[in-house]
Amino acid sequence: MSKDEPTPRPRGIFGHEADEAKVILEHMPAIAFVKDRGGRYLFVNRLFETHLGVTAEHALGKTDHEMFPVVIADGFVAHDQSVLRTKQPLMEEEVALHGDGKWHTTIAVKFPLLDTAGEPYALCGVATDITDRKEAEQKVKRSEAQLSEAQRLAHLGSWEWDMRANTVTWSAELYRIHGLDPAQFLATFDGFLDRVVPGDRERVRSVVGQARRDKVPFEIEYGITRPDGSSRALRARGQVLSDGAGEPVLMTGTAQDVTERKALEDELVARSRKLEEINVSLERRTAELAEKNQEVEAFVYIVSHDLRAPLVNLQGFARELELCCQDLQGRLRSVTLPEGIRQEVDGILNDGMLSALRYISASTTKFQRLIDALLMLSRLGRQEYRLEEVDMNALVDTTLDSVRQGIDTSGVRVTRDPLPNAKGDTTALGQILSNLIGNALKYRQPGRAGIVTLGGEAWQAGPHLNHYWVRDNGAGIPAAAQPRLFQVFQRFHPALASGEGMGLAIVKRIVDRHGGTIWADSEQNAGTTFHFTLPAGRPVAGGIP
Amino acid sequence: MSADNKISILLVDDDDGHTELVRRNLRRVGINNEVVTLTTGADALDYVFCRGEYAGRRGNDDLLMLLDINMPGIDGVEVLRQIKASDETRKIPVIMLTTTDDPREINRCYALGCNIYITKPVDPSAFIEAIRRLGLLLSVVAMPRGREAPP
Repeated sequence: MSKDEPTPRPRGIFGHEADEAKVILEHMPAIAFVKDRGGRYLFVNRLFETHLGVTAEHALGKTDHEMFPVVIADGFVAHDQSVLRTKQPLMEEEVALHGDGKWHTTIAVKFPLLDTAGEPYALCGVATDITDRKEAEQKVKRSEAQLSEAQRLAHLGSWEWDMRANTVTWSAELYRIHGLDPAQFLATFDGFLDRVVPGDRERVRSVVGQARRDKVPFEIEYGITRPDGSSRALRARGQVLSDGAGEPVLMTGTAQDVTERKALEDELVARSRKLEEINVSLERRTAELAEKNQEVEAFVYIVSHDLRAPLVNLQGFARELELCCQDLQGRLRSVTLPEGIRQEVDGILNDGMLSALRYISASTTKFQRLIDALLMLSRLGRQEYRLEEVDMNALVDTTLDSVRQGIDTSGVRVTRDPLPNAKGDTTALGQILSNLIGNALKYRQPGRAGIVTLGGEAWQAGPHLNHYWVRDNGAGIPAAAQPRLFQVFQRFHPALASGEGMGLAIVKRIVDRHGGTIWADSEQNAGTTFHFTLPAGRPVAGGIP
Repeated sequence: MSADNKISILLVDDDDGHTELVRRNLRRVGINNEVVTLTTGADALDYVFCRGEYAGRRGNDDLLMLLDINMPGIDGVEVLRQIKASDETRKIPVIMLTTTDDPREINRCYALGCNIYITKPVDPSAFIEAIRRLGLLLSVVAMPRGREAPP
């Protein structure tokens, strides 16, 4: 183009001046096109070709509807027509499926090309691809949404206090924590202080004031009141930002609703305090028990020494009196007395004194046996056990041998099934067996041949325990007496055999100390089965059939 | 056991009844030795160590002791301990005569050096038997001193 040569106004756009415009459009770093009034493409540039994936050859002379999906084409055409009608430029975001198979967002500027009469004869468009910016914007929006969601989940709000303007900005979650609407909140520091419970207000003011003066971060807990009257516990952190002159201008931070956590903490504290109390009372109880135990020991000692001492006298002097009476009788025989008086004196000596002395003797003997039984029971509790593998079959057989004579004379039939091994003190377990077997032999139902069966098995209800039983068809125990079965000095069949009524108390003591339990099934006149459990020993090779 | 056996028996027991029963039963089985009765552990120690009220005594050569355990103040176990701890008195035969049959107590007395431990039986015939054994022991104790054997 030459400067000195005045150029005429172009009559048509593809005149020679227009060629330069075409070159400009062609190389523009944006999508550019020209359409005629009918929407047919008159020109498309290179970026148009690459972006929309169509060649100029293909595009020229075609309308949008001939090239693009109808929804998109409708949008383009609507914008075009608006420009042609108003003869004004228009800037709009447009979305289209581009040649790379992806949806792109463009910001398109469209303007009419007017003829000399001012009428549009064509439309020119320049569009910039803003897809990347759009995506970045959306990413920011998503991040904001996520942050807001995170705040909601953590009951953690954020805040900002512009100290120069005295305006406070709260995140949505902080409003939610306060139960407030932005409209209800006077967004200043004092507006915030109004929400703090009166008891915490001065402290909050002072901590925040200090942080502002010293320009240091702070952390504080305080209570707030919601409009509905309920209160929440909050933990806030903040930091101070200063301007170039070192003047504090902004405070930012977070505030978290820690009501539930605080309640949990309080409960934890309360519980651990409670535990401590329980512990203390347990310790006290243990000490009390130890003391009680010592009292029992002292009692046993008293029974052993002090109760026996007067018994020695009672029994000894009863014996002395008895000897005196016999002496008197002897001397009486050697003197002559009127018959009536002799009979009277004899009566006093025999029926009066000697029979009275026999009662005293019998009672003191019984007294002594009871004391001995009590002593034995108390010693059972203190005796040290040696825990070992116990072959219960061998132990039962030994026990049966020791009462063989009783079995033979009474004609009782005793059978023993194979028994699993137990773990315990052999001597103590032997006492269990001899007591239970002894009882079964002693308390037979008169007139019925006795049958005693011993059995055992692994105990299903408790691991590591075996269950043993001694079954008889004897006299049984009256139902009313069964609750007292394992107490001391209980006699259920005094007529059938003698004893102190201590046997079952001793057996229970031994079973208890081994960590087992003992109980009885009994029916009067039908028989009794004593069941007891003991720690299981090693399984017997080959198992119990 | 002969009447001229000069061994005297020191009986220490706070229960009058018990000492009386021991005396009677000793007599009944024919032991007629002198019996000195004391009722406290302190008196018993004064006696064997020849001090206090018994400062005039000379030695314990012909002494045998019957000692109760359960006494107020100094108990029998402490008396036993002091007697067996001193060269002066260690040789006195001491027979513990008590009501308890607690094995721990029995072991303690043997550990301290008592010569024999007899449980006071409530059954009088058993008591007499115990005294008989005691009499037997007395004669055994008497033998090494070169005295004539009892008839």
